[in-house]
Amino acid sequence: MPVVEYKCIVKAPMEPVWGFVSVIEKWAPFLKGYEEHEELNDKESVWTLKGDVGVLSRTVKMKVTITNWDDEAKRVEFELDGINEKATGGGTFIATSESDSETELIFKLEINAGGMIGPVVNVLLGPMLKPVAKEMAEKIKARIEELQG
Amino acid sequence: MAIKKPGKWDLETEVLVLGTGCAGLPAAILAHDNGAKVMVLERTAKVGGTTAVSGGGVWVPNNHLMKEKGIKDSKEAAMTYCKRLSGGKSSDELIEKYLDVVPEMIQYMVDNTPIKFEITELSDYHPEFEGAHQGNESRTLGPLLYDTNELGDAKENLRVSPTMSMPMTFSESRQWKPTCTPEKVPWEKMGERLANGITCWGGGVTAPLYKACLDRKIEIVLNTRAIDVVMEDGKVIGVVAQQDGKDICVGASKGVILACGGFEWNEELKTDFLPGPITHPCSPPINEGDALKMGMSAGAALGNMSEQWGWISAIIPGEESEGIQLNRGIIYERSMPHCIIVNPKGKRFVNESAAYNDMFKPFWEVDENTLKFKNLPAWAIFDQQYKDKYPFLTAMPGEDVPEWLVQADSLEELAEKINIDAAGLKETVEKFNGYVKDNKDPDFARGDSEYDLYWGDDRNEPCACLGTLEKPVFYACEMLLGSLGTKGGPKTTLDGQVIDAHGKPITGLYAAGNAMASVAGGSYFGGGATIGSGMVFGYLAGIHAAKQ
Ligand SMILES: Cc1cc2nc3c(=O)[nH]c(=O)nc-3n(C[C@H](O)[C@H](O)[C@H](O)COP(=O)(O)OP(=O)(O)OC[C@H]3O[C@@H](n4cnc5c(N)ncnc54)[C@H](O)[C@@H]3O)c2cc1C
Repeated sequence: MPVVEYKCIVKAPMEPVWGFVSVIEKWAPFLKGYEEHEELNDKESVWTLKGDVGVLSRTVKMKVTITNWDDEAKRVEFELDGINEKATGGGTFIATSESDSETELIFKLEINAGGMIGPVVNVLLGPMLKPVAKEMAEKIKARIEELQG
Repeated sequence: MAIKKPGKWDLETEVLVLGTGCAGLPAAILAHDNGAKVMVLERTAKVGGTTAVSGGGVWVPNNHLMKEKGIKDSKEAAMTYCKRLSGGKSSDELIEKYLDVVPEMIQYMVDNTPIKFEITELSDYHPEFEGAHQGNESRTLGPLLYDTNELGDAKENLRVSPTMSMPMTFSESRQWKPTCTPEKVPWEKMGERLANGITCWGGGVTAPLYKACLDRKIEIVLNTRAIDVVMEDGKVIGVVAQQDGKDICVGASKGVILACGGFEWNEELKTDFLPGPITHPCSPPINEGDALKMGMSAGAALGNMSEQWGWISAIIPGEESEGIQLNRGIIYERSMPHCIIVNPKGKRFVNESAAYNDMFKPFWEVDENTLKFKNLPAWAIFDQQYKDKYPFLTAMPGEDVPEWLVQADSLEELAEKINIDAAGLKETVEKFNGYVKDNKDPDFARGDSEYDLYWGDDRNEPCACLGTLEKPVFYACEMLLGSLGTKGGPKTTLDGQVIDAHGKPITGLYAAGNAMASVAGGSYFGGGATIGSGMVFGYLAGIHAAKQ
């Protein structure tokens, strides 16, 4: 199963970092291929993304379910379930205070293509995930730092 | 009008090849091996062209592998067959040249480059015609697996197919039958091969030929698009090309070989020359008729301009490659039992299982009263029996029905949804179901030719390509006008030299592959006839140019 973890240090205290990460609307457009998302309730939403599989790009609809939202531990866990493609997965966002002015952000994502040709899709998906996670985390970091002035 | 010689060349070589497909790579290799300094200009950032995304089959009558296996063939038999097919649109001399050279060319490539082939089980496209071969004595060669790691860093330059990337050989695909029994395919193994850089199909042709160019230190200049020829005293001596937003002049003292494809992605040229539309070509969006324009600029005589390698396609809306909608070829889907193709009247109009180039022709039929294409829009119609057993594009049997397939519980409802004549569709299906029971299609002879059975399901009794449509749910998918490429362009001598309107060779200008007036005329001899002819005339042009 293709898995990726990306860590970065945001030059901002925990409060504004968590304040930003915990409002999905703020960072959703930073996800590569993001087209739209619709909230079904406070735990579930449907995301439309344009994703690359090798040299092919497909519009994928995914149901995202928040399974753990921990304001104390500054940790969000979610599950993914493909609507128009056979794929499942999940991920975590963790913010950890490093100092008064620095916060570590960890973004973990795993996706498993299902169906008969899943093993092949996973091979193609693997190399695509890392740049996606990196780009998203770096954009979040840049935006928070920009807001901090 | 061609450009005059500049004061100074930006780049210089002896033989300049334009394009890196099945015509360009052999042209470069042979020009080099015959002593010339060679340079290749490739418009895109990737090597391989349409060839890289193709099936990679090569049609080689009388080849060395047939001889090794004791399969008898002769040039005469192949000649009789090809002449019958080309219908006088190609000269006998050109066909004869192809048949003479193709076995020699393949042997040369196998001996002097890392490319390797196997014999397939594909029959000629009209195995019922005199001189044709059946599947058990196939003239189509399929490439073997190739490890792209052999290319080192240059591996990144390879064009990769968005649809034919599964690294399996023709014989493996025949054994596993991904189109009939996808559950038999070792998908994990396919994933492993992909991850390990193994390629096949078109990649099994272009990757080893690219390696052969690298081994010979032939310079391939990427992202450089030739746009016009440079001429002096009636002779082509170079080209003007676009590179990094600038025009550069590239001199070629021995010759320029146009191997930069057809014009299937140029709307104006298609409108001017083709008798009907190609709305959804299946080649990558790279061939825009530059070779044709350069040929015209040099005063070339043109031939076969109304022809193309026909191929029906379909789309999965939103699926893109290279930033535009991907057009997927339809081949096995239309040939499987329980699937037919109908027109707006709900009527069948074609042998759905016939070879792609020929079954395309009725799609361009014009109604003499309305002056509209009478079979458009066309729809593939199939039932739940099909859905339960076979893939349709990416919709796998037993998996959910994707949004892009139209579905309904009855034929009437389906007809209404796709806006075709419901009574016509119902009558057609009833009639077709009767034909299936009689195991005879008197309307379009589907299943009569051995070729029709190749893409069917041989477990299906009594005929691999005939099955009723009777079990709801019923499904529909629009059949679109695709193409593998156009095949008209500058006319050539037997050595690939471009000729002018008076039949005189234009010194220094050659054409090969889809850039030239094809040896096949309006026909398709057998699986691999496109790549076969591209390779042969690239090979010949390379040798001739080097010897100037
Ligand atoms: C899905 C699919 C499957 C197919 N399967 C088969 C098969 O199994 N067997 C078979 O025989 N045929 C097959 N075909 C058809 C066959 O692949 C093509 O017709 C053939 O490869 C064309 O070869 P070519 O060298 O003429 O052009 P291409 O392979 O398209 O190469 C032309 C090259 O020229 C470059 N170029 C374009 N313009 C310029 C310019 N101005 N300057 C420099 N470079 C330029 C392009 O970028 C490209 O790299 C298939 C086609 C498709 C789409």
